[in-house]
Amino acid sequence: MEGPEVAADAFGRLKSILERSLEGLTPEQLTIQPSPGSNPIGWLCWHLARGQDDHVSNLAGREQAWVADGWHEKFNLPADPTDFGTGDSIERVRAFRAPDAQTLLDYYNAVHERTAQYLSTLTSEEMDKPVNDDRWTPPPTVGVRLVSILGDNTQHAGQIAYLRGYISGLGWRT
Amino acid sequence: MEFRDFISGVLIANERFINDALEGLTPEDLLKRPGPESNPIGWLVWHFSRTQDNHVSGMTGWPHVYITDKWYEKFERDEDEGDRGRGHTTEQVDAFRASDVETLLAYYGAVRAKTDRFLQELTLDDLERQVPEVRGNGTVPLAARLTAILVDNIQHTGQVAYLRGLIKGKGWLEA
Repeated sequence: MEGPEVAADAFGRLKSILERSLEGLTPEQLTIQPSPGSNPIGWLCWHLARGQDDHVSNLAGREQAWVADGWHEKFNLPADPTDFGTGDSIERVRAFRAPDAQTLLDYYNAVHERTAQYLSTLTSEEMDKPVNDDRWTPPPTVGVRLVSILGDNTQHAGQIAYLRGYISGLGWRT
Repeated sequence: MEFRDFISGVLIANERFINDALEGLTPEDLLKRPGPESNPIGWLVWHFSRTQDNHVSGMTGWPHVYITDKWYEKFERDEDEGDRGRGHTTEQVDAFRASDVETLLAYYGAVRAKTDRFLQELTLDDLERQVPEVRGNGTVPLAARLTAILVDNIQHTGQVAYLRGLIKGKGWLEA
């Protein structure tokens, strides 16, 4: 088991955390905020999936699923690959509406499948090469980029699970 | 990038978030709960540190640093290696007291040093070795418990960061 396999294992766990955390939530529950400045589950899940779609598509040299497979239409948003939530004002966060929990999960699962496919062909040596991304000088390596996506995504998954507990009470996981 | 560097990289990258999220919090901040059954920051940091201490001991047979270095005394808790937060009732979470941020970070630092010692010795073959599972009496490949450390540690860090934002307002984390 090398770096790419550890990464694939960790990303696989996110999928099941999200499925458990979103199960049975109504569209209204996706917008619940514990305080006016805190991000709700719907926005968090969208942002998590968008971040992974952007970063992994960039690594794989592919167009994002958001644009290429028309996912943006299901969220009634423009086909804008740079729209992934980072830096969103709290007004934008509050205005964001996911159609329903299933659409969020479907989009995440579509992104996850592309990520798993990418990781299955990646070698340990390729993880040490710089990424093809002119937004950073010097560019990080593929491995460092994967570390940061996994960290970001897993933190957000933890926030989603936490909010699910906030909404449904202790014991929602059992 | 081999597995060891990937795992270390994730844990190191995550430390920045732990440190930034805890900076300047008062003992009262560590106890704040947004909902009656929501875990506060102090408990969360103690819990993810205890979890990592337990995982590494489960894979190596080494003792918990919580016990050998008497960290339980600093948290005013029993000398019990089974005491790590899993399954706590909301009353137990309420009763938990972390004295301050420094104590939490010092215990986590001791756990991380233990994890690093373990990772340095680890070989590719070790990853396939069967080790006891966390719950139940079965075994799992060692690699599964390694991934579990990462996923648990980072999720709870995300929760701590979220609570920091809830207490201090948006904009505390620099991009």
